[in-house]
Amino acid sequence: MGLRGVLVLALLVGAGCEGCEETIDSCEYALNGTCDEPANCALGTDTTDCDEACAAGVDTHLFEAACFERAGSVSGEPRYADAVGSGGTSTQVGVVDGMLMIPSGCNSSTPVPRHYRLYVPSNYDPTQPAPLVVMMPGHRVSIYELENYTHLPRTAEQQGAIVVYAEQEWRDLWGHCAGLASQYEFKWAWWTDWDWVNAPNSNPDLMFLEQLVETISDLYNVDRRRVFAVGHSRGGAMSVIAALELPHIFAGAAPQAGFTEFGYDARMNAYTGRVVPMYILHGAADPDVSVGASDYIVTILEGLGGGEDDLFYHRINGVKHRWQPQYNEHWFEYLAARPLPEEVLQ
Amino acid sequence: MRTLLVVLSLFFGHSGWAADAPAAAPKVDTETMAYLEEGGFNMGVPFVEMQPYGDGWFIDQTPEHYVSLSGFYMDQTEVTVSDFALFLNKAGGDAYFHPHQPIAKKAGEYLPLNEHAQEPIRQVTWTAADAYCKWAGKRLPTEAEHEYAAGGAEERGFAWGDSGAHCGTVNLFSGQSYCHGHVRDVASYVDGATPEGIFDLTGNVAEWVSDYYGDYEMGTETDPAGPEEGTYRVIRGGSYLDAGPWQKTTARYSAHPQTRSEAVGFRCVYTDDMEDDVNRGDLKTPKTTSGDRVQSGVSVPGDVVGAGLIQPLGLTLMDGIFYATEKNVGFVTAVDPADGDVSIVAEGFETANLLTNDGTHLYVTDTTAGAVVQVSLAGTKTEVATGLSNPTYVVADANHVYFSDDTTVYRASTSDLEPEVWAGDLDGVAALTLNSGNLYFVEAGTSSATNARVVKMNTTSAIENVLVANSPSIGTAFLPKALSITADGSQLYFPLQYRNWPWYAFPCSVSTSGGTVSCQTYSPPQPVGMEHMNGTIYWGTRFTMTQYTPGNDAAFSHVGAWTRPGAMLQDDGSLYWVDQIDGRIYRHTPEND
Repeated sequence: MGLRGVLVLALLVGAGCEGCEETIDSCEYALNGTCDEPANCALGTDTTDCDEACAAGVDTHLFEAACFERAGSVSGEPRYADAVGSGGTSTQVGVVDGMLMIPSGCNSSTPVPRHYRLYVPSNYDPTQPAPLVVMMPGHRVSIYELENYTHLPRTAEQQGAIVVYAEQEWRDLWGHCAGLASQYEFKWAWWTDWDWVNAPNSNPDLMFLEQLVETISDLYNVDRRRVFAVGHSRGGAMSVIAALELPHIFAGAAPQAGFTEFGYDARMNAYTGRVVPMYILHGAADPDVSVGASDYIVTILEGLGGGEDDLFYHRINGVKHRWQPQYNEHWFEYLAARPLPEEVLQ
Repeated sequence: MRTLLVVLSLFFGHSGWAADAPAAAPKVDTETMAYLEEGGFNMGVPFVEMQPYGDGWFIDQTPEHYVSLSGFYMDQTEVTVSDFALFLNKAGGDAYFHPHQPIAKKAGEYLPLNEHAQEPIRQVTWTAADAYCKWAGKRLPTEAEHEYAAGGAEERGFAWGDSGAHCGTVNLFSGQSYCHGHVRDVASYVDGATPEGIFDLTGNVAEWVSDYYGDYEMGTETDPAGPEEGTYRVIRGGSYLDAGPWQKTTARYSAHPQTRSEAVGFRCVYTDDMEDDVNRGDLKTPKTTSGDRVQSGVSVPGDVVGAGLIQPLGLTLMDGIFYATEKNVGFVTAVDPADGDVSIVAEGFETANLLTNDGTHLYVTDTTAGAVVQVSLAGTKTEVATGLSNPTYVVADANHVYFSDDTTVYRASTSDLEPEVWAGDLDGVAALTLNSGNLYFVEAGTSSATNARVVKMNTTSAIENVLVANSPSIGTAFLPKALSITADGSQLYFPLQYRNWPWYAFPCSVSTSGGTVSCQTYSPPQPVGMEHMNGTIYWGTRFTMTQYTPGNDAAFSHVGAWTRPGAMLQDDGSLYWVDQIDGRIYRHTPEND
């Protein structure tokens, strides 16, 4: 009632009116057409004026607290509907580096390091499940270069989501890939060039991505209904593969400048799983991966049942082979609105 | 009672007491705002063919189109935490409060946290920003107004000019290192202000503006307010999380108006026709209170033992004092780690590159001037050599200083400073180091000639011993980039970098007696230095300080995320390096791992 006390004092000083506090006892009787909560009255006291003002919804910037009080709203409500949290309890925010040992695609008996880098937003709350964006770089691109041109921390902060940059296998002439590559084959590359006909289930990248999501879910409270596969170029190709091969993990995908090759298109055409929502972008002037590559992916996805409710495709005029971060919020919200069906969760 | 109230209301009129007064709101104070004269400018960027992998702009900033604007006042600073807490207390309440804001709610009052009161408010929705500005008798700027205020009629690339987006002008992420990794008090960057005195229009927090997000259209516009409807609201001005392209005055992106971010705040504008019938007064800002808050998502990569350097590159340690080159401002600067005192030792270098010491003097390479200069601690500069072609590397012991340019390694006595050719006809030099009476250097070679080598040269006899010669794996394809030797002088470590994008690298080693080169792991790109310390090798790359323990670690890991190391050194079991972006000297002590 501190505010009311101030009011009474103002009455006494302003009017020079002894005893006024006994006859005008609260804002309940102001009835001057202006809602004075909370600036001059305690919330809930200038009832009639505020009821009318809140109902009218005009100039609510002057008394929004009163309306909020009447609506019984609470701040800090869960950001994402019907989230299913993994229960991880870490509270460490910011950049977190890690590594998993995964069988090499060159030699399955040789585990090789697969680094990853997390960005956990500063507003991360372990009691609230957070979506997870798995970002896959393009051919030869390191996960450390990726942040600068994808600008995903900005989206992580805006959306309360965790981002992980997932490293491709380092195909190393001097090590586990000796004999399989020339000296110019030193590179980070996703195993999109896989034997999709004979060995689709042993792709090391799929093992890595699955373990990566599980590892992060153990660390943080990941919303397992909102884990998204996202990538650029060869990483875009891998994000499509990840979404279709692991549709129980990835709720959706957002490839940019992606493609399908090495026979994976045939495997896509034979896909019989659930329709996985996808938000696909491709520069119409891309000289490295023609926009026709995404046209082709979209054609296949449409053949699999993808429609306007779960397939968005935008050819961006004038854009070449470059991630377009100004669309980050757009694909994120598109996918966040299409969570993994609960019955699909294992 | 009701009758009496009506009588009183009539008696006191609109300027009377609270029951007849509208909700409390502050007076508009144009003294805290800058006036932008009526004018016009070309908004956005002209469409030119985009580069394949990157430009300073994005396609949604096209087409460039002419915009005329009426005059308006703009807040000189972003709305502060203190400002916003006042709004919550007087009008907004829980509708616009969020626990992630640096504000504590105590006994029904919203109080700014002590250390954050003058920082920009963030974690606010567009709706909250819009409501605040209206309450303050103002409004959110349009994105045209924001771009005009930032770039002016002269269409500056950045708020302060056309170049120079660094930690001295703007709180940003360089793509390699953060200036701070969190917001700072408003108006902390005086050099980043516009000519009209508006602060932080780029960097610190990005800012909500009033427009719905949409594509630009061709044609001239007057006081444009954006699309009439849409889903997303525009955000302008870049933040501490954003790299250079997003700090440009033309940069734009968008977010859902009900989302909130640590990196997005706002400011307001006012025009003379905005008078309203709200009773405005001088409202007292709330007191601050104590309380903890997660400051930022980004931590520093090591202990900070020095700060405040401007784009430092070189680093040496003498008698407990660090000396660094500040490359582009041409200073040699001393940093005392005991008290953090920073003082200029010498200035006037065209490009202060790397430096070393012989125990009493400093030696600096000035790449642009083609000179190597001895610097006394009193600031006296003595030229050791001039007319060199891109002198870069320099090392010294008590008796000699060795330095290199594009083709030659020179040596000069530290007593007479007379240079002599020590190794000539080289095809580039990529590193120098001294150890146990031997000078080690790298001949860089070229991608068209197989002549890259790592050479050991006895400092007494000048006999050369090639430790690493061309092989199919180095030379045309790869290049040694730095050298580090174990304390016992037995093993030489060097990062081997692929000559072309994306500049892959490997930490490699070879015996200082010669033998087989061993490369056991790969590395982030573009190594810039290497130190072997207690069985672990450390090397800087463009993005990070990386470590690897041969025979122990399965792969490299990071000492700390996001740092752009310049020169590095070790002393008494600790690793030190300068960060070229944030201007700090960092220390990493392995026992602290």
